[in-house]
Amino acid sequence: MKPLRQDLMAAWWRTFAVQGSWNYRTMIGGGMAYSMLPLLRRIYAGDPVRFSEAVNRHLGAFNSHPYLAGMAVGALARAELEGESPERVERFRAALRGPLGTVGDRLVWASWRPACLLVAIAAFGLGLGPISSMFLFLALYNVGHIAIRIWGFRRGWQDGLGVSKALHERWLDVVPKLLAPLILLLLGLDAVLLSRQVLDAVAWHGFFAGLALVAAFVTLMAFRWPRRTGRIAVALVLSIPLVWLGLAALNG
Amino acid sequence: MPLDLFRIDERLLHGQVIVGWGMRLHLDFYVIVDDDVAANAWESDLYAAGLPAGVDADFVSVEDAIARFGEFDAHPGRGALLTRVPGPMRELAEAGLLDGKRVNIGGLHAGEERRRVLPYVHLDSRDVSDLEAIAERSGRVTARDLPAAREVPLEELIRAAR
Repeated sequence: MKPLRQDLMAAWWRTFAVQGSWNYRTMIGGGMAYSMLPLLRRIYAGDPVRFSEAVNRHLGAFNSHPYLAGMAVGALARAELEGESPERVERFRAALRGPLGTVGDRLVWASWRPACLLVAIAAFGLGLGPISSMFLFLALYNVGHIAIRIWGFRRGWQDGLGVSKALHERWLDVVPKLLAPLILLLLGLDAVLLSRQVLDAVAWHGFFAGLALVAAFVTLMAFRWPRRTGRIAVALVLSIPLVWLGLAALNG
Repeated sequence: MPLDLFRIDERLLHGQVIVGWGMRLHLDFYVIVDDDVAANAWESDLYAAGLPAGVDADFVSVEDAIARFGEFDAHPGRGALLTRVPGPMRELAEAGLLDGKRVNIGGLHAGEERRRVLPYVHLDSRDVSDLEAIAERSGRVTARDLPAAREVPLEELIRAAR
């Protein structure tokens, strides 16, 4: 039976939890099967044997960018609906893993997230408060995030086995290419804006200056002895913005 | 330029290969040797969808790979050759194409008969005999998922698989 609108909505909603049972053996396999349940239940209504076989199929090892997992859920459910053979569905699953990972990494982790973060930092550098800047980042980022999830799920469900058409769409290539120079520009702008603020902070707080110096020193050492000092350096570098935000909040 | 990397990896083209090895070795093209993938456009299109712009992939059957090996080896760019399982790599080795080449095992997942020898390598008796045959007709066979990871020699894998 063909899944209803409410089944599609339920499956899409469930993809938000796709990493919920992440493990080294099946990675997001469990989350994939969980997301597909509402669809598989409808497709194999009245046929418990084939239903359980299908659930088992989708429990197997799978990995993709979490935001594009919905595209795999939609496409695999469409393949199941169209009665593709289990072997074919397995092969389709295997072939989906790679591109959904690389396309998503390139688009989100390497472009969209840093771009949104840098915009928010620039806003902070230009005088927006720390809390508002954080919300600016979350709002901006999630507009793109949710849009990608909706697009992915829809295209997957529409195209089934032919989903590579969606992955060859030009904007997936154009967006990272346009954002790359913008990210560099923002990085430069942020460095200028923030260094001004850092200098102010140093002027009124010796502790912060000390911490920054120690962090810089340990970071340099981390290049020479990554195993011994790498973690300490990361912890220190990560603590600086926190301490700084804390101090900024204290000083109103 | 001769092919730079010969890799056995069930996931074929995926992040570890494209980013981990591709960026490190500056690869311009991939030759994927797999009879099934070469025969299915939907499947090869899907694998190719993850490639960065300017990087090419050629999906060929084992037979075509042997016939066109000279062409791949003479390609002006830097290339890698990938197979899903040891079998096709063995055929290339037995055709005398891998003499002196290093063969990399990048990922073989758990299977019913397979025993875990490394977190990313699981072998059954057929894999072991294929890998031994490859070792006989190539330079050196080792497992390594990423360029920075430890290289594990085949002997060690086979000892663990027994």
